[in-house]
Amino acid sequence: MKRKLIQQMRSEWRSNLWMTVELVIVGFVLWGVFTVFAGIEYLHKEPVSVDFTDIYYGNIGSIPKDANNRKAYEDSLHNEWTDLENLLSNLKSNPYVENIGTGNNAIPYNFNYSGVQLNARIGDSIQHYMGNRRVMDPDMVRTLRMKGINGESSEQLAQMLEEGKTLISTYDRSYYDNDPKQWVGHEAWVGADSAMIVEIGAMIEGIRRSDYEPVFNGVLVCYYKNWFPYEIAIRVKPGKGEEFMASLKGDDLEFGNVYASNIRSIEKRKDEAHLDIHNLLRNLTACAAFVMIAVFLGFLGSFWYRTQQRVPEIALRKVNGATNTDLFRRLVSEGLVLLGVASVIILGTAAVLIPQVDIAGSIGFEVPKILLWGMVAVTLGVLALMIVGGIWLPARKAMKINPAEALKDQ
Amino acid sequence: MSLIELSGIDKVYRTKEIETTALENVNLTVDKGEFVSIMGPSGCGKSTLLNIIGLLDKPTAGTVRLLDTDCSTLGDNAMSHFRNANLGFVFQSFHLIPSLDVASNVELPLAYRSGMSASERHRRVDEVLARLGISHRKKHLPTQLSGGQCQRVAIARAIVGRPSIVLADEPTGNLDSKMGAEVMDLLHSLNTDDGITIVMVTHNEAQAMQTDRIVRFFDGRVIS
Amino acid sequence: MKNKLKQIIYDMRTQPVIAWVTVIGTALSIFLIMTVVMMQQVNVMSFAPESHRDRMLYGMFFNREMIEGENSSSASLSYDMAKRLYAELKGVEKTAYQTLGIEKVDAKGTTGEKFTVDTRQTDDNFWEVYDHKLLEGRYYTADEMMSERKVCVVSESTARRLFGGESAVGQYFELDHKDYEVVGVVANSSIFASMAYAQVFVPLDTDASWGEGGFGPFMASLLVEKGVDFEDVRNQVKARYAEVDAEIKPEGFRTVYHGAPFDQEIIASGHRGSNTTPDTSSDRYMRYAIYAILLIVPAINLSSMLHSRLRRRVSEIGVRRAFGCTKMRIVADIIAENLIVTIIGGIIGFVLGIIFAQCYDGLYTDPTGTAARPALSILLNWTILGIAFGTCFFLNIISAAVPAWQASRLNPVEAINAK
Repeated sequence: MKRKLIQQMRSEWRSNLWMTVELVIVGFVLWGVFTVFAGIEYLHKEPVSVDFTDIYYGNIGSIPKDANNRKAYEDSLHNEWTDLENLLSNLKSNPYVENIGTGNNAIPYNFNYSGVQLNARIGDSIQHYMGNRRVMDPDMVRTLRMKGINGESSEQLAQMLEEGKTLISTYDRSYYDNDPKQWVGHEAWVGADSAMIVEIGAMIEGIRRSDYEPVFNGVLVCYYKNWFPYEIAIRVKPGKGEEFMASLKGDDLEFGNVYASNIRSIEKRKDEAHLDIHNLLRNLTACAAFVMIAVFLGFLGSFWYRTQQRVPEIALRKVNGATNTDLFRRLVSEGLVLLGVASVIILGTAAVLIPQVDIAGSIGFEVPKILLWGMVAVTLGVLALMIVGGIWLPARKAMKINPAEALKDQ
Repeated sequence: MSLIELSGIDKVYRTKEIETTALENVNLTVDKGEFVSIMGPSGCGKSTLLNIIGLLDKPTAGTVRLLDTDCSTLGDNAMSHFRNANLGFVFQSFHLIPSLDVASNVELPLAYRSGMSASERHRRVDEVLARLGISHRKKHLPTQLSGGQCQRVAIARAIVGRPSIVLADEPTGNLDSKMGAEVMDLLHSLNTDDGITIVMVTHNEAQAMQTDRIVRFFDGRVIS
Repeated sequence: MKNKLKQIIYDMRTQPVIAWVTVIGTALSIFLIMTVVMMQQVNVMSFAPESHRDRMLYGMFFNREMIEGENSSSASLSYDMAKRLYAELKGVEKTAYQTLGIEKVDAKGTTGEKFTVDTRQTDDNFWEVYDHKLLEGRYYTADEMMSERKVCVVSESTARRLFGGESAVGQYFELDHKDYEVVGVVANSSIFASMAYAQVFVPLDTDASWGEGGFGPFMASLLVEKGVDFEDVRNQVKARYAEVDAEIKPEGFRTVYHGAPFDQEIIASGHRGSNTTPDTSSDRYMRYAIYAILLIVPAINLSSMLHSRLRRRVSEIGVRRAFGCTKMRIVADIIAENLIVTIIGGIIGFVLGIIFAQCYDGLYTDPTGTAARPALSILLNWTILGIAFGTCFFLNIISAAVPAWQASRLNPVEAINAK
């Protein structure tokens, strides 16, 4: 039986060869796509130190000095800062608002990078820490409910900022040779300016710029009292977002020359920030679906033709007592033999590639090797499904052959 | 004048294991206007001979001259053009193209002839269909025709290009005797009325007797 | 042709599965390829108001660094620096200065509705370099720009939103808290025209700059004369960089040249870095790899489907050969017949692609990454139709060549007698 199967397959070697080539190409495409999916999902699960539920955000701006509707200040005690204070306290009186914070480059899901280097003498050597600077007022830390890695509450962290301390985050250890935890409590100077000294208050989990970006660099959270903020974040009472938006009146968003605009849910910003990666995922999904359909159609067509060609042979088998299951199994095993050959090539290539390719170097983060092998397995499984699916219809057709009629036609 | 001149034709089929001699030193001349039948048991090489005359197959040795042209030296394209211009084929199992209607089937050889307008092709097809009495079947598909009608269409196809030679390989083999007789009458009238030279392979002694000459074959050799 | 169609219909009836696998496979392949092509083409091919993208060069960024030390700054240009680097180059028909990208600001007109509009500052040449359609009024002039008049040109839909149905020309409205007079109304432009698009155009503020060093919000758009090599223009710009170099060297700075000015392909690749030299090749290779997969995988299927269809027609091929059909003619006929099938599938795929583009948001993005649906008028043009047809033809050739060649090499005698 087995020998005859191989013999028959040899007589259709050309078609079988091409189908194997197709399986190998499609296998590689699927493997690549699945690996990206798995890697991104893996990354997605990394811890974050902020809580984004019920957060709304917007911009803060002031009317330009040369604008014709700029209001003049009565005295030197009043300025844009006092306008901002009034604006925030008006907003805080909204019954749906729990907390409001302001900052610059504070809210994630933007791709700004304000790189700042910290330097500190730790032990015998001078160590460096490079991070994306996020400027937050203490209320922003409370609003975003940030937590320290040692269980510091947002209140404690806010207190540290109030005292002028700086917070730094964990980062991908594969990029640095020192453990960032040892920085806590040290004094560090910023950039090349050894006069600008800050104290590191606590460690927080990294704040990623988007859910799909690794914490390749650290994050510095600082509070500069003289930086006029351009961002506002509002935490509304749980589940009260829509009521909050409906309750906003134009007057709430303006005071003097300072105004808040574009207030909306952080979810929208998240979607926008993830647009690129979602587009990529969508395109890869389309590509994977396409090659899967191609395999399905290819096996459907080829095996349909084979069944047609073999009507007399199948009829004879039936006459000699072959059951429908036998016929089905025979056709499917023909497909699976092809997959077997393709698998050898795919697995061989994987065995060569996986130890050699620097995944971290090419996609920016480390993925466990087991994940890569797992995706090879998933790929082969999916291919097997497509093959069985494609052979299904022709096999049913073969089962329906009436031996008497088929042999009579001969 | 001899239209077909075969001299010293050998045909040997070689596979890895065995060597089979299909034809051995065959010499044959057919004159213009002759109706020759080739007879012999199965596997004696008569179809091979017909294929060699039809330039569908090349002899291992010997020369083939058709219409005073040495065909042994023709290239593949030249042979195609030669067949198109001078030869017509009739097969035992008709070999009509199932997807095409009668008119398109008959038109086939003209489609490979350059410089003939569509209207001229249609005129010729109509003429030949009328001549063979199947005009009313013009738009039918081969599956809608009886065996005898199919063979008439096949004969129409063979002569639509006005060839000098028609090669028929057991043209009545798949037909009952009544239809077979009709087809034979048709071939005879093409031979006598149109002056077409016909070489026919047949198993039917009675039909062979009606032709001008019988060439008998045995084991790749002409025996009479 | 008629007979080829008959054959296709016959195949569809007698071999439905194989015929449908062929058509669906082709349609799917062409659909995806055309979608990828169109996603790329909306950012490359010319359409109004960017009617001469093939002749455009864009001077967008400037990068300078300390000769010793690590300080490097880069950004878009100040008006002076833009003029210094890009004014009056040989082989350039017209140079326009404008802001790089659009700015979103609040606007309020007589309708009282306050909304955000996309604004762009431009000089007067902008209206000649780009092909906007003036519906009403006029464009602003160089004089108006130099005297800092608060005038503007608005798009048709913005005019309607600001002033309801009234004629917009001569009316005033509030733009970023300042009063502006409308002098002209232009037709709406697609955001895919990323350099020319805006809803409100205002005269360029020649003083706007970001600190010292030649930075500001501006860029230069160069309409190059027909037949002039872009490299000639780039070489002149390089020479201008050298002049700037000579000037800033005493201050301890030097310029870094990144291949400016950029052509449309670089813009289409989404290059956004002001301090990096664009590399379109990886982008291009990625696209080629996608095309290759989208072509080769279905081609293997189509090829084996065609092979199956032809195996049923072996004796027909023998008969055709007997009646004088040459080998080349067999190949040509099969390829032509298959082309018809491919084109049927291709048309289905192409139409699907167009429908998809019109119904699905987010597939098409302009070079700045903003998603939008391109108008039908942009997608339906000869270039894209030509690419669609060419792709069908190519797919047909790679899938039909081998089976057709095999069929032509059949021995006529064996073919005729094949079952």
